[in-house]
Amino acid sequence: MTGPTTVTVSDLAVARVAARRARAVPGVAVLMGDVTQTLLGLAADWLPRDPVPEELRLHGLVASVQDGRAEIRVTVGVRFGVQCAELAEQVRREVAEEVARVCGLPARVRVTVADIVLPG
Amino acid sequence: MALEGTDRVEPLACGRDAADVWDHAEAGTLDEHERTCPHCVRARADHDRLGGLVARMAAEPLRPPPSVLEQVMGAVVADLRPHELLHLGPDAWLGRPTAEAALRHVVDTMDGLRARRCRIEQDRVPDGVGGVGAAPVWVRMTVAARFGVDLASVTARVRQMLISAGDRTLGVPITGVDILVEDLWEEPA
Repeated sequence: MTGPTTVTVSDLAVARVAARRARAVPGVAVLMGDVTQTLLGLAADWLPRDPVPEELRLHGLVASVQDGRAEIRVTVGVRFGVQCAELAEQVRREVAEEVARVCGLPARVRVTVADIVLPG
Repeated sequence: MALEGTDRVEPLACGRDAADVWDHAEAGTLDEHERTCPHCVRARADHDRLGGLVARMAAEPLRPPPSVLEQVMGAVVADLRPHELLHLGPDAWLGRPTAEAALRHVVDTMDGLRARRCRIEQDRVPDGVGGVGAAPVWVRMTVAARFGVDLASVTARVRQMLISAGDRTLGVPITGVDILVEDLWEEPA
């Protein structure tokens, strides 16, 4: 850095921005955490005084910032009738744009559609 | 029964191709035969049912927050191994068991059919491809049919429904469909 001030955006902040945007994409029913994330999240809901690190409660989304680039993995469940490939592409694009806009970081976003919510 | 490509399409029992019937219905150019023939009528009914289902599901509001059990089950579903993923495009994947469940659901909505097992195989995606779109897949579907259902027609209808669902709800091109009619059942009178 050449200037007198540096701003660093944490993994957690990036993850929050990304999760918020991903949830807002039409057709995304839910962000899905893996087993570790979910159990720790549940534990945090039940135990007093929040013994669980906050970032683990960001369901279904993992973000890390390295060398001025954000790497984001997001796992979503969609409703039946939504075209999965198009939706994944839309989530990728919108999350990357949002992270670039809010955090000023180029982002690589990987999307996995893990569930299709069937009717009935 | 193996059906592949567009050059070896199993026709409906009346000799028409289900895909043509669908195209004609959409373009409003059905001929006299297609309007009256029971096989063609049934093929069109499948199409309408799928279209209605897809539109209705896509328009439904979001679900309420899940219970603890649902959260844990969702987590188990989300914990996918690499071989359980279908490639949808650059940096995009789809859980294979989920895709298989969606295709079974499509067959379950067809008259006189129940899906049993479904297996989706995807051609290997070379590492580091910049290729746009999903690699093609092959679907193996095991079904049970009601007595009296025309099996030749049924396989043509299943094939068309699966290819359409792959295109419209998964976003994965289906190059081939193997259909095994494993059992027949009789509706109680």
